[in-house]
Amino acid sequence: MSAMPDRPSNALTEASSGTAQIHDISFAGYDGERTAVAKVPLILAWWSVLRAFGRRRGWVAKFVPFSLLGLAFMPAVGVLTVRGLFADTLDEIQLPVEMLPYSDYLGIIGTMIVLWTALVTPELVCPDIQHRVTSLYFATAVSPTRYVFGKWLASFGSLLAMTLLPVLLLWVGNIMFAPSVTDALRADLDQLPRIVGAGVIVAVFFSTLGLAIAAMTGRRAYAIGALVGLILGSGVLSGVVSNGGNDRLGAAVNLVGVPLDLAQRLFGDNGISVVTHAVSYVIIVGLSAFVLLNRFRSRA
Amino acid sequence: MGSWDRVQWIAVTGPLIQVDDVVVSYGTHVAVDHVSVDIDSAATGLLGANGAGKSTLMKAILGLLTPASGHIRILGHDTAHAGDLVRRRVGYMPEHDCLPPTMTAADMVVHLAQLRGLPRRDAVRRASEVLFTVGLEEERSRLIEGYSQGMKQRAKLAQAIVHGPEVVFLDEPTTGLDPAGRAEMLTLVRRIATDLGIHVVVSSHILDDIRRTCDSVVVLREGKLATAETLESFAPTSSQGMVAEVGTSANADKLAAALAARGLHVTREGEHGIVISDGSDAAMDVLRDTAADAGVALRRLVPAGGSVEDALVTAMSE
Repeated sequence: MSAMPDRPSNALTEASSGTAQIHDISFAGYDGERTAVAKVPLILAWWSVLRAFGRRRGWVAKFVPFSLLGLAFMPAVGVLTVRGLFADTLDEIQLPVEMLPYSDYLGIIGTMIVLWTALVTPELVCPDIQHRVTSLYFATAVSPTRYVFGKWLASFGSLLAMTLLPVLLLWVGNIMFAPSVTDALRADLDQLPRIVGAGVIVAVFFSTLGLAIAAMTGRRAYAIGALVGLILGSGVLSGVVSNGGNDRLGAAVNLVGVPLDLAQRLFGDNGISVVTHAVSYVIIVGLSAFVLLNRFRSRA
Repeated sequence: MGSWDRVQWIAVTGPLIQVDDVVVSYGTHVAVDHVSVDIDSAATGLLGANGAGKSTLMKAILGLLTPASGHIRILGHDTAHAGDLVRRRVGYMPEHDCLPPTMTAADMVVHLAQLRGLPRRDAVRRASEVLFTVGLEEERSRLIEGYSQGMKQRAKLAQAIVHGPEVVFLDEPTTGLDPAGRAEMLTLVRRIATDLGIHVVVSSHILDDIRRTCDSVVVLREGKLATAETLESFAPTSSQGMVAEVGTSANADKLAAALAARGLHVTREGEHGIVISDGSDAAMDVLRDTAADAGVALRRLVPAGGSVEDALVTAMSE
C-alpha cells in the first residue's frame, strides 16, 4: 500500500512487513488536489436534495417527499399497468397510444407540484437561515450567489424529477407497449422535446418562486403558510379579475395557471394568450430571482 | 469557471496576516478604527472587552466584511480580491451556533470539506481523522441536534480544520462550555498550533483563554489597537525588582530594616510586602540570609511589576 501523498513525511508512520500495515490515523495537513470552485453549487445542491428527502432522519421526514413523488408517478403507472394487463384487448379496439395525453399530465399532478413547492422547498433553505448555517457556508468558498444557485439547483432538480420523470416514463411505456415499437417511436418522437420543455418550464417557475418565498423566513411553518396563502390568494384574485371582465389579466395573476398553461401550450393551441402568459412568467420568475439574490447579498 | 480557478496558490514569505490601516464600520459606528498589525505567531490571541472589535476584525480578515479603508493580506493574498481563494485555505469557527441540526457530525464535516475543495474520498477520510482528533469519533453518526454544547464546539472545530488549513480562526471557542469542557477545548486549541502545525488566531474576552493557548496577543480597545506583543514580553522579570511577602506587619518592618542595613534598597508595599529594587541572584541570597538571621518566614516571593494578567488588563482598559 502506498503512502498517502497528503501527509508530511514526519507524520507518517506506515510500515509494511509481510501482509500487515500500520497506518497513522492521526490528523495531518492536506496538500492534495482541490476541486474547482465551480463545483461548489453542485455539492451544495446534492447535499440539499439529500436533506430534502430526509436522509438520516425518521420516516416522517421522508414521508412527504417520497409520497408526493410517488403520487406524481401514479397516473403514468396506472395507464401503463392497464396497457400491460390488457394489451390484447386494447389493440383490438385500437386505442390511441396516448390514453393519457402528455399535454394533460402536468395539470393532473398540479396539486402534487404545488404541495411539493409548499412543503419540500422550504426544507432547502429555512433550516440554514434558522440555525445560521449560512454563516458557516459563507466562510468557505460559498459566495451568496453560489449559495443561491446551489439551492436553486436542488429545488429545480427535485421538482424536475416530479415534472419530467413521470411523463418520460409514460412516453417510454407507451412506446414499449405499442404493437410496433419503431412505428410508435417514429410517431411519438416529436413529443419528447415538448415533454422536456414542459417539465423545465414548470420546474423553473415553482422552484424559483418557492425558494424566494421560503427564503424570507427561517421558520418552515411560516414559509409553508406563506406559499399556500400566496398560491390560493392568486387563484382567488385571478377569479375576481376574470369575473370583472379582464380574462387576460386574470390568467396572468394565477400562479398555478401561468406555468401549467404555458407548458400545455407546447403541445398545441390551448386557447391561452402566449404573450400574456410568457410576460407574466418572466416577471414572476425574474422578481423571485431578484428577491432571492437580494436576500443573501451579504456574507456577514 | 470563475476567476478563482485561474488564481495560482503561491506560498509566500512574510507575515501570515497583514492588517494595514483597516477601518470597518457598521453605519455610523466604527467597529475597527485604523488598525495596523502583523500576525505571525503559531497562536495569536485577539483580546478585548465585549464590543472591542475582535469578531469584526476577524471577519474582515476572512473577507466576510469589506473594510471602509485599508488593506488586509492573508497568506500573501489580498482578501478583497482573492477572498474565495483565501477562505478555502483557512478555517473559521464562528462563535454562535451554526451547525445544521439534522445532519450527523460526520456528514457535516465531509460536506464542509467538499465545499473547501476536497474530493469526496479525501473528505470522508479526513473527516474521520479530524473527528477522532477532536474527540468525537464515538458520536460521529449522531444527529447534531442531540449534541451537548461542548460536542457542538468540537464539531465546529473539526469542520474548521478538516481541510488542513494554513491558519484557523476561532471566534470565542470556549463560549458556553463548563470548566471541564473549557479546559479540554483550550488544550485542543493549543494542540492545533503546536502538534498539527496550523497557525491559530483565537478571539476571546477571557484573559486566561489567551494566556493558556497563545504565544502573542493583539489587544483591541474600542476598535483601536491597544497593543500587539508576544505574551512573553508582558511577563514581569526580576530586573524590575522582587516583592517579598511575610506573615505580619511587624515582621515586614523588621525584615525591611535588616535588608536596608545590609545595603539593599527596599520600600514597603501593603501591610506585609517589601519591594526589593534589585532582583539579582546576589540580592536574593542576601534576602534569604537576612530573613533566616531575623527569624522571619518568607511567604511569597514574586517579580515586581504585576502579572501577565495585570499587564494585559491594563492594556485593555487604559
